[in-house]
Amino acid sequence: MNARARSRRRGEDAQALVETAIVLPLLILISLGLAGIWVVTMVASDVQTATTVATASAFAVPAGSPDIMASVQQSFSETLGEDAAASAKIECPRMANGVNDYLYTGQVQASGQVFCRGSRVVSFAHSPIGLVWRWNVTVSQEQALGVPQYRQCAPEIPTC
Amino acid sequence: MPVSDPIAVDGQPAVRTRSRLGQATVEFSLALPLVLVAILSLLQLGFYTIESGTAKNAAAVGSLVAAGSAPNQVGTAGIATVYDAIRGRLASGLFGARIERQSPVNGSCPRLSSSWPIGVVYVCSSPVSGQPAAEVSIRGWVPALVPPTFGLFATRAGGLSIDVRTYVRTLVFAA
Repeated sequence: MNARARSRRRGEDAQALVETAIVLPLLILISLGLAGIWVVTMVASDVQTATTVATASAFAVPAGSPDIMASVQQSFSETLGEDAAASAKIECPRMANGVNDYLYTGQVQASGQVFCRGSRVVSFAHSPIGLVWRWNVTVSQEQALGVPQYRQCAPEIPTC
Repeated sequence: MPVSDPIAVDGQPAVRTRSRLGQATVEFSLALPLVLVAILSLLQLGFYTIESGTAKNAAAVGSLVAAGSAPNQVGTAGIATVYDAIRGRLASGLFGARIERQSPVNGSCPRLSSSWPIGVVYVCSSPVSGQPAAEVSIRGWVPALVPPTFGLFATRAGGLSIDVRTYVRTLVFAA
């Protein structure tokens, strides 16, 4: 190989090195971004399952009982698992259209519903994904279930 | 022109052309396994996402069943009902895995173990001792459809873990 050929070869090697140095970080960032999306998707699936199960747990407690939200909370936390539950919460707000009356008054209309919203904050601060996902993501899922036709009523709710 | 390049092909000396072809072959043989691993891993990721979602969905459905049928003060046995309710759903979404019923051990569903066979996913339903509640678990190892897994999502060669547990309050009737 003569001097000109050697020089050309070194030039090509340097060019390849520069191109790799530009493309490789981009590829890594894109991969981490996609991994973050996947993790958030999986967490959303977990939260949906826990919210569904927790909402169903409301019907095992007599309508209007003060223990009813504790039952929902416990089911939600146990289903998510101890670690995940620390950054998660579920709420079943009282609504104007009669939804969730089962929880708060024990009064249930035909086709009444219980509606709950579960959420969990996902943080990537302690993982390589945090290089791209530098902010916390709140995953929120909702579930509405019809009140069963047959139910028990708390003793203090005589007109249930 | 050097003596070693007596014949020119497309304006390039034959030796240099052969050298470049050789280089391309070597680079291709190095890159091909990496590209294949990347493609197969993405396929595996897709399959696992479906399988995991199926298990979670089935566990939620099983919980709805267990909430009304788990053992309680009137002694209804719920485990068979839960299994029958979700078996078909699991079978359609857990690729290459067999669905089996699992009995509780010491009053609770067994935790996932690396000694369990790959390709079997167990459904367990059990009352939670001391509480008006039931747990439904779907645990096991689904086969890695795209070998090898290179350890992706797996704590075990050739198998991907499915580990879902739900906890639901159950109806309690007066004796």
